[in-house]
Amino acid sequence: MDGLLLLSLTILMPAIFGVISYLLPGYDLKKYAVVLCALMLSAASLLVLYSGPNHITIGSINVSGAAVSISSIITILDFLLLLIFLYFGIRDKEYKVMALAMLQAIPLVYLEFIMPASQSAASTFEIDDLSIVMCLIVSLIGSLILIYSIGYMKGDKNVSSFFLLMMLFLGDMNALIFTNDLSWLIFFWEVTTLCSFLLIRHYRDEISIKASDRALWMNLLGGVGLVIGIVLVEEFYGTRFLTDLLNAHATLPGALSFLPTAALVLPFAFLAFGAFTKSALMPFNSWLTGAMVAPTPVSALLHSSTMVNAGVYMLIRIAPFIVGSMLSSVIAIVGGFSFMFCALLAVSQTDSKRILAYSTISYLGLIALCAGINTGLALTAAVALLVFHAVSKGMLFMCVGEITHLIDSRNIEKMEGLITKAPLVAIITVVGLISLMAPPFGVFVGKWLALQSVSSFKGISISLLDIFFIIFGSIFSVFYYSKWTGKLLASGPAEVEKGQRHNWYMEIPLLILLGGIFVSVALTSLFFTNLINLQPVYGIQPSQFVIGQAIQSAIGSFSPLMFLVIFLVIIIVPIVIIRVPKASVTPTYSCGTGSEPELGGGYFEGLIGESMMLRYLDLIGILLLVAIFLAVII
Amino acid sequence: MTQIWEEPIVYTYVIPAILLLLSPLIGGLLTGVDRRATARLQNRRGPPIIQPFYDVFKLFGKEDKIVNKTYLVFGVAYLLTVILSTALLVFHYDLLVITFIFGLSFIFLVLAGYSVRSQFSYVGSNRELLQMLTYEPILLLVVILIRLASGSFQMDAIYKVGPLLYSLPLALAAIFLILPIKFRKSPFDISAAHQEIAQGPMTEYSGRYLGIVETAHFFETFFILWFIGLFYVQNWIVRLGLMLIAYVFSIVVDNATARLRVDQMFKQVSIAGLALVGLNLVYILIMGRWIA
Amino acid sequence: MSSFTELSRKKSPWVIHVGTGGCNGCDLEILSCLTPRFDVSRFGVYSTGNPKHADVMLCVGPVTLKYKEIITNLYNQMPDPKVVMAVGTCASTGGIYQGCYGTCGSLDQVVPVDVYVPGCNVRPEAIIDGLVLALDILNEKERKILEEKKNKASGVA
Repeated sequence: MDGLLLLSLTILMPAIFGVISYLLPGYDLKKYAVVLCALMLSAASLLVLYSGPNHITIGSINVSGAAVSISSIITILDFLLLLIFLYFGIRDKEYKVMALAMLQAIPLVYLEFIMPASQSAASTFEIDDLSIVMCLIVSLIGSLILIYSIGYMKGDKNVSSFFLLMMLFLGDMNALIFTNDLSWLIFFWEVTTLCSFLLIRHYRDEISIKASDRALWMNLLGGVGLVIGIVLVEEFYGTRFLTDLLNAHATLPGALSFLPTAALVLPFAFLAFGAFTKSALMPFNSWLTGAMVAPTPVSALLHSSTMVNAGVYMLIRIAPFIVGSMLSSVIAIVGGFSFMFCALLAVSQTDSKRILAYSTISYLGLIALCAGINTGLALTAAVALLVFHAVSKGMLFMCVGEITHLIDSRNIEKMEGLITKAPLVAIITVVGLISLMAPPFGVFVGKWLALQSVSSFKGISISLLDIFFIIFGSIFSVFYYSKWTGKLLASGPAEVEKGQRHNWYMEIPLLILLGGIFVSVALTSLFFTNLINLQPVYGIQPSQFVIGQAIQSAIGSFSPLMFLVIFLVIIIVPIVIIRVPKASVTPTYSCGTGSEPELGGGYFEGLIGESMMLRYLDLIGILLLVAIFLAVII
Repeated sequence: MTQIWEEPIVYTYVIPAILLLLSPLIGGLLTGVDRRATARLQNRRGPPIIQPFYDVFKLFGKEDKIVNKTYLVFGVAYLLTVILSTALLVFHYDLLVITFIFGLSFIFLVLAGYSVRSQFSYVGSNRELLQMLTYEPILLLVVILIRLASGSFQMDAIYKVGPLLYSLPLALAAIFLILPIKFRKSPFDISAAHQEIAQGPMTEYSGRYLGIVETAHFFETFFILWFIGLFYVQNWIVRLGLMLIAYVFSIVVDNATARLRVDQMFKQVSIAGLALVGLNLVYILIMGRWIA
Repeated sequence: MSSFTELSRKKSPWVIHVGTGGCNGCDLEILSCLTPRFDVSRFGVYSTGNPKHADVMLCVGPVTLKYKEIITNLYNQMPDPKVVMAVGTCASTGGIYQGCYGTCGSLDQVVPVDVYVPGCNVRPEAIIDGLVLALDILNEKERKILEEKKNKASGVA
């Protein structure tokens, strides 16, 4: 398939539809535009999958006869973005935003104007296996969330700007994952910051504006790190194209030659810093938990499946260049630290969206941990977790949105007994929650591969901490997921189910994603063999440890499909066989009093609540960030 | 001339299948022995050894009294998952997967306790989750130590290296520390604290479904003891002796101690267990008894 | 198989011990049955506090008015086949509380009683004797239930 066609379908088409839906009057017409865009975007991503890896170079576009280079367009738009951020900073009187926007301009000016341009024959857009996987995640899940938001945002005031921003974001996200030129990547990165900022402040009340400002300055801080990193990449390697970096040699430029040889990975330290802010790992977690004031489709799309994945995507991209270095181990520690302690914080929460936010940061930390461990098995685990987590988490956020519409509350204490009031949504939520903690689902496959790679002992190092992080983090996850699942399922004796109102715009995407969870687990071995391609530096390809339907590495084996079938049998056979005769229904044992108990509690606010833990955790997080840069210099 | 039990097809398929079929009987008999021994220690006579089987068959003969369908489904799923993990254990599958699937069975029990609106089940499930928080890290760390000592998570590798008891004595001690939690005995029988919260997650079960949960306990007993037996697979007499020592240990500790609070259990077992596992790790690193 | 189930029913009576008021003297005698001196657990008796797990309800004391509803709830939550034992004179006939305004009289005013064990206090040996009588009644009741089920099934069909 023609690469240019695919690129314009996945990048430009959503943006154009966004503008179209902004201009169309009336909610019904907008609905059709959004549905059409969603269908075409899904089809486009499947076409990308079908046509496989590709290189496309677009140097310039023809505007009324004159060739305008895209690089210059992007440069102009870059500075325009920074001006927009500066404007918002001045308007909201946020000094951090103003300072960071101006700070980011400095290395950007250096990058674009002062630095000698490097010549390279590399393509500007590169479609490889990792990009195809990310494109599938962004496009398919994004399309389903667009359809979902038609049902969710009905009756909202600012619907036009909402759809415009969502679809613009989808196109931009696709551009981010396909681009090969790092200076274009920073532009697409900052557009996601802009979209996230504008979408978080959708409701325009004071809490939303504060939360969006916080998200803005943290992401801008990451942007500064990213730009500095790109400048250093070009200084050290002489090129700014990712595909060139694999074969290029790094040299320390004259100005920095006082640093030891290990400092060759310094650019990647800055890129990792940018990735940490985007993925809201510790200590930057507060912007993501604050961003939960946004409407639920925003949380589902940006803050669980796609935008925050851009950060860990960046980590997976830079992983081949830092194999075996101390920086890689420290990235693993930051990821593991986020995994364990955000899971612990989630135990104390009662707001369902906050629980999901902490859970997202936690699993992104796990992906960062796998990327930091940096062996073939661990990177396979990272990519697998990327996919499985995005599907489950997107679905869970959408479920929470629908539950909010049904019971007008986000508190999980109010969701008690939901299985009798709204059985379809409750069952989908329960399956989603179980898929994030239990074997044989995808997240478990990722954790199992991660545990396998950390258990190979290479010497006494801080990597031993990784084992503790994975073990404790996964147990804390079981804690808060089972509590929530149990609350949803709690019901007294045979309560009558009233007719449930169905909002099909919201429920069909849920059902499709539910099927997607099972299909993606069943196709795991196919996914590993065909869609995960590791760089030669790892010495192993995932296809080497997939035998038949089982994943068989040198030290362990597991067959996702077989266990999925067994799991379904274990659950479905009792559901079908057990009958509850009407005559045998009795109330629960409450010492014979016949009174209905009031249940609740078990959140341990005093021990592990946010107010108790975050002081220490933020401190340790900042120390870890300092450690990243020290790890390069020492 | 190889003996019949050294034939590959016999020891790969037939003996494990027989073990799996016998496992509930073995588990039940061990439970009965436990009740009899406890009674003797208290200067009583105690029920006959096959009392657990009388209990289970009586329960299967009772009529149903049910609250809702959800907790029954999870109760049956709990039994099926325990059977699955026992089957994987005797058929020599990947040890890490086995541990996680064993943990899945407890997740089902916890969900069963939550899915019926009863205060006793609710508190019982909360406590069961805290118990899981206590023993699961130690169990997983011991499995990782086994992998370091034998070179692989596959159980066949355990048969190829020397007895694990020589490399991992402190890990075995850590497993002994969490034995009372798994067997639901004093001092850690907190989730089914009879005098405090009726029967914990199993309060609302009755009749056939209670029989199913009791049968699952038999399988669990067998699973845990068989896991301990992995520490000396070379000689079957020593293996059985090790399992016997573990069981006698749990009975003696049960009779000698009183129940602890949940936070006391968590602090004491976590600190002691992690210390033992850490010391064992240092030991195998120093002695070089690890395989990368 | 069904004869083994019947044997098991006789060998494993699980007991719920309910005190409905009164002087608690018979309560103490029931508890002393569990002690090594009388050791009722050698008959497989297990004192569970949960009606859903129990076969035999050992009920003590005249049923005070507050307890009437509770006893009925507990009785209804016990799965069939079940046996109710009125332990002590107060439970059997009202005892020294006969005619009091605060009681319902005897236990059989509230739930159907199968075995009466008089005594004030009732002796542990008498309690064990009553239990042994109750075991046969359990099997009889289950046979009746199964017969009723068969009749209903064939009557409907």
